Amino acid sequence: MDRKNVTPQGQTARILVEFLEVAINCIVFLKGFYPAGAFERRRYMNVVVQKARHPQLDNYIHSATSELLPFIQKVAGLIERVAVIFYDKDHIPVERFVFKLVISQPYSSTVEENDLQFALRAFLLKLTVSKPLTKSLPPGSSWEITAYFRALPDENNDTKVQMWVPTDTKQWLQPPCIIPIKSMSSEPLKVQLYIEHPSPTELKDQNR
Amino acid sequence: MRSSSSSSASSFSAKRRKPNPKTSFQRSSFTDFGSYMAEKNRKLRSQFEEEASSSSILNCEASSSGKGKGIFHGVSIFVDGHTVPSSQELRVYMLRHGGRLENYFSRSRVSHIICSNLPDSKMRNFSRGLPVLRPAWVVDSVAANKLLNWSPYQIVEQSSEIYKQTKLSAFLRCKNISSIKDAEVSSDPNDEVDPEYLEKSEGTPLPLESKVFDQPIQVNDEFGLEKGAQFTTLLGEGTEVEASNATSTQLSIHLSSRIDDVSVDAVSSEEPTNPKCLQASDVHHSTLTDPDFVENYFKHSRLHFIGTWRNRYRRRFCNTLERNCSKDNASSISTNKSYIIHIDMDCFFVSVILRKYPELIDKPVAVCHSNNSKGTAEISSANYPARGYGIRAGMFVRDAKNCCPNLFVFPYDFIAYEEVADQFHSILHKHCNNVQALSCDEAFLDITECDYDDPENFASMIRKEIVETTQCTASAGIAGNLLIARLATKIAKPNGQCFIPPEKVEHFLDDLPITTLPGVGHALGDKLEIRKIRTCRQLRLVPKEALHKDFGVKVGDMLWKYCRGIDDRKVEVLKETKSIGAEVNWGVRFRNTMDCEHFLDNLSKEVASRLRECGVVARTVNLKVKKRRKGAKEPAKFMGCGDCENLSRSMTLPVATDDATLIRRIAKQIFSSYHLDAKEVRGVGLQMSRLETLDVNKQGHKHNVIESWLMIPAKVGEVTFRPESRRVVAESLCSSEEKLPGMQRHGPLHENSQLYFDRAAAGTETLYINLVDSRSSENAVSKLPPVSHLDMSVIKDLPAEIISEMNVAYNGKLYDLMKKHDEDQKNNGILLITPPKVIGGKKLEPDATNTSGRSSCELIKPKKAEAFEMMLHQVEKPEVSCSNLNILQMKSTTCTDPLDWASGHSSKAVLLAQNISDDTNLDKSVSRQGVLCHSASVAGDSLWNIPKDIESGVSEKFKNNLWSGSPPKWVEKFEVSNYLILNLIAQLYTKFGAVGLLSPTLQSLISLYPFILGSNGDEPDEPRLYLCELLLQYINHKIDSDIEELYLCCRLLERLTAISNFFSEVYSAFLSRLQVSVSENYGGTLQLTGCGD
Repeated sequence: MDRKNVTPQGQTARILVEFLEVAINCIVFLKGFYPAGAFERRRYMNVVVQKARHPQLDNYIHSATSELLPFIQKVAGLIERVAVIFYDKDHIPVERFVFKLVISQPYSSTVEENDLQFALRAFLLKLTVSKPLTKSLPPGSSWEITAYFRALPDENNDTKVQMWVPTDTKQWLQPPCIIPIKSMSSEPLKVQLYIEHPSPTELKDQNR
Repeated sequence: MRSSSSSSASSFSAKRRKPNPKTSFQRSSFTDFGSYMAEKNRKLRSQFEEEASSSSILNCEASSSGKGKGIFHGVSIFVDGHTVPSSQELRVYMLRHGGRLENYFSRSRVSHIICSNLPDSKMRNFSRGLPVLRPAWVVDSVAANKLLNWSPYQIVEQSSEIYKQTKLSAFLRCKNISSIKDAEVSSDPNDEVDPEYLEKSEGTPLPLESKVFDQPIQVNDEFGLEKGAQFTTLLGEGTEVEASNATSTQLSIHLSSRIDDVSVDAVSSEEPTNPKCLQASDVHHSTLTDPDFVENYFKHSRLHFIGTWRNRYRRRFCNTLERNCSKDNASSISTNKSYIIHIDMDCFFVSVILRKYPELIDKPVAVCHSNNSKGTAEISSANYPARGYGIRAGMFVRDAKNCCPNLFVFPYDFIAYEEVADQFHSILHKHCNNVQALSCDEAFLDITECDYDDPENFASMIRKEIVETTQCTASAGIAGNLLIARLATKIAKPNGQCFIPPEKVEHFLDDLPITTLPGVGHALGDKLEIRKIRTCRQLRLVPKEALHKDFGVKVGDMLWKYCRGIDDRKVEVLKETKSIGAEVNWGVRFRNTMDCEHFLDNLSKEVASRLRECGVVARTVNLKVKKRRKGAKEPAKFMGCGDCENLSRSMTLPVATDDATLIRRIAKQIFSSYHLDAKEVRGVGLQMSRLETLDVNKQGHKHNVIESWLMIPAKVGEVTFRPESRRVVAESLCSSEEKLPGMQRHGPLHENSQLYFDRAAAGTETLYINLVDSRSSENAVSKLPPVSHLDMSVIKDLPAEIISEMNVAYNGKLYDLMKKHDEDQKNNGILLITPPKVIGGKKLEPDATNTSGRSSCELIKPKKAEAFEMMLHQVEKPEVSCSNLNILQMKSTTCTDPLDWASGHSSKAVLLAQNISDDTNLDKSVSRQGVLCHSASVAGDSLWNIPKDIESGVSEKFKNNLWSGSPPKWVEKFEVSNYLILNLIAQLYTKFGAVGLLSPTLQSLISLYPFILGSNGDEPDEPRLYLCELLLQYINHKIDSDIEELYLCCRLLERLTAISNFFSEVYSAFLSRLQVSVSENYGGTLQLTGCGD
């Protein structure tokens, strides 16, 4: 990481991005999208987590999350949600893991890095045992990381933004069912993780 | 002592090889070895004939017999090895009686082989078809003046145990002798021994023959002859088979050796000993082939006997020992005129055996597990006549036999040893209270405290009694301290006693060689020898400092003291066992890692069983491995360990154990860390140290078992079973890893409080139910909650092991139920949810119990706020049992996270999970509950289902910003409210609501529900309005940041719904508002039914 980032703000953003990378790794593992052998046990914040071993997979998650850093750092609050979306073979979402981020603009350095880590740690702990909350994936499914921006970033200004491309993901017609997994609120940063499933009526619509 | 014999075996292993004649001749100047030998043999024969013709005896005998030929005409013998009479004498016999003696073996010329015994290889290589006979045949023939049938004199090496080492596998895997009969018919060598037969062969001395022969002992000549003849024919068959078919070599050997076994048994029945076991020639002796090697090894190990004897002794004399311990302190003060007797049985291992053979008492006798005169088994004990021949413990049998060819060698008889050792120690304990048993046959007595007139008389009295009781003699040394007493015994032996009064000690020591002092062995002796110190007198001249410098403080001190006859040690009863282990250094040969693991497996079992025998558990596992030193040859000692490198590593476990599988796992782990080639392993030792006595440890140990949770007392009515079972399940979830011992306690406490509430609610007089008794009820036996009360949705998410454990506890009904449940679920498509009727608090702290007791008092005589003040005071004064309170709290909070996952899964699960996490606020909730009930009873039946109603019902000041500020505004308002419940909520929130969350409070309500149940009905509207308002504002307060918390509250309220109408109103209001808020903020609705997976 850059030296200049070692401000309280930069610190928080960095931790958050790091956390997101780990958490997304965990989610993908949790879903059993790849064989368990594609992951290896690692320790992060003193929690056993799973990390992708395949270079491409690892790289995808890593680049996706680390490219979020400038947005989190520079334009606080630009990113509203980061979702890991699992699709069925028709590219219709079947499950979404949503990280709802609220980053308050004036960073106050009241929160210690350790406290923040401790709070984020709870997410990972909970994630590892959240398997029963999730749905089993249909065959031929796929997944991607999607970030919801409050405004489209100005592409001309920042070359790095190129990594993130606008998308129009299919949405559910009905409001989804939400299952909260973990929430955390501290002064500079509020994070909530929840799962979205299509509502039962949605399923019926599809069947029709 | 004797115990050193085995380990020092290798030092005796220097093999004395007779120079091989052949090799020496190879260096001769003859052009060709063959021609040389031919020439030599020719010359020897001519010499022999020359001598024979000049022998007058032959001539006169020949004339007298009228035949002109000796009785041995046509007989050409070859004498192999040492015989009695010697080969020279036999030669003379041959000379005189027309026979021939071949100096070199040749199949064409030799007709009989004469020897005392013949090793297996020779038997195979050149005895085939030739009779191998004992020299007695020659002697007897001469005596009878005719050529006797040689059958009775036939020898088979490795047949009877007198001539052969009893191998371990013989006890299990040796070929069944009964298969001899098969051999006659089918020649099948691979019959296995039936176990029953094996057992017999071990325990009783004579069963083997009895299986084959009808009259095992009375095998007379006739019988022998007959048999012999029969066997000869068989023998011929055997060789024939072999000759005809190269691949069947093995088979023919089996056959012949087995036949030989039998015939020799017939012969050996004349011997003074009874053959114990009969073996085929190819029995397996090592770990290679014997799957039960470890077990057998220890069954037949003398060292093991001595080792385990200690435990036996401890058990047997446990009472006496304890009694003495108490006395010990008093007695140790008056050491002024103390006398110590060292008493030692004379050649214990031999003399016990000789009780059965009194005629052999003056003959040289030794004890060893083998009597193969070429063998490398070590003599473990020899009697004094034998010692006269220079036979010492630790000698190889073959060396001993060289020293004394007539040596009688007996196998161990552990049963007899045990018996005699017990008798011996009983006598000692009878006469003296202060006995330190050194070994099974040796002890120190401190007779200071005993009533005796004269120590010498006392000693002789004991010795006499020992002789009378055990028929074995003992020697005693009497002196002022342990050292001198022990040295005195050496002088006293055999069968004597020696008294060295303190004044004579110096004189006694003067010329005593240093090496006789205990603790001075080869190494130390050699060092002293370099310094020209040989006697104690010389040693005394060396100043202490010099000794310290040369030998270190400890050894230096010891030398300094010992050479002056000073010994401060006290006679003490058995010392605490420091470690328990098992080590095998003999017969260890592995082919591959599998063998090793199998061996470790058995060794672990052995160690575990020893631990259990001693009633201890151990924390440290040490694995010693002997690895063949690079370049070391196969050891001289058969199957011995030879020259080895010793490797040793240990590993300490967090919890002491005596579990064989755990020990094995660790052992394997250590073993693999050595990275050894399995073939190089020559010995393995597994030792457990850091012992802990089991009973102390057991409690902590048992807490991990789910059964202990299932067994939590359940006295309360059926209603409480539900939460109870749920709790059990929940706990089993987190119990897998670590569990505080104290955790178990909360169970019964909880039960008590439940019970208490039930009764209080029912208005019974007996309010002061056993809060104090809560402890006592912990131990109460209880039953499992009925299987129908288990929550399937929770259970099916449990780890499989726990499910199976529970299934066992329910006699298999659980699986059925689960299956049924699964089917139901499939049919309905929804998760089965039964609303909880009663909610049990997961962990009730002791003071919470107090509080609850108090609060239920309040219920009966409602007094509002002051009462609650009192209640909170009560909390501060733990009365009953608050020892583990903090630990419990901490523990329970740590449990929360992993359990929370369940919350989303089903409503059941969430209840259960939250149950666990809410202990912290439990005491609050208890009291709040009380208030709630009270207020509820005042309230009417009106319902508010929509927020509007609530808002209208609640006064203006209540409307806004209840959650702003710190502490939130509502706390203050509730505190001053007229309603008990609101007061209480406020009070408790102040105490615990630092994080600003409401869910803990609701959880507490749930856990104390039964208290409310009794007072259902007449609640006033107002508190309900307040509560609704509070909750709705809470939604607004939290919707941005924490839907998790709201979700939790929602779940909790849902549970409360099942309990009373009061809450169902609150819940419906809360839920509708919540869903609206969530969809506004998150674009979805909370999923509140079971997971639709």
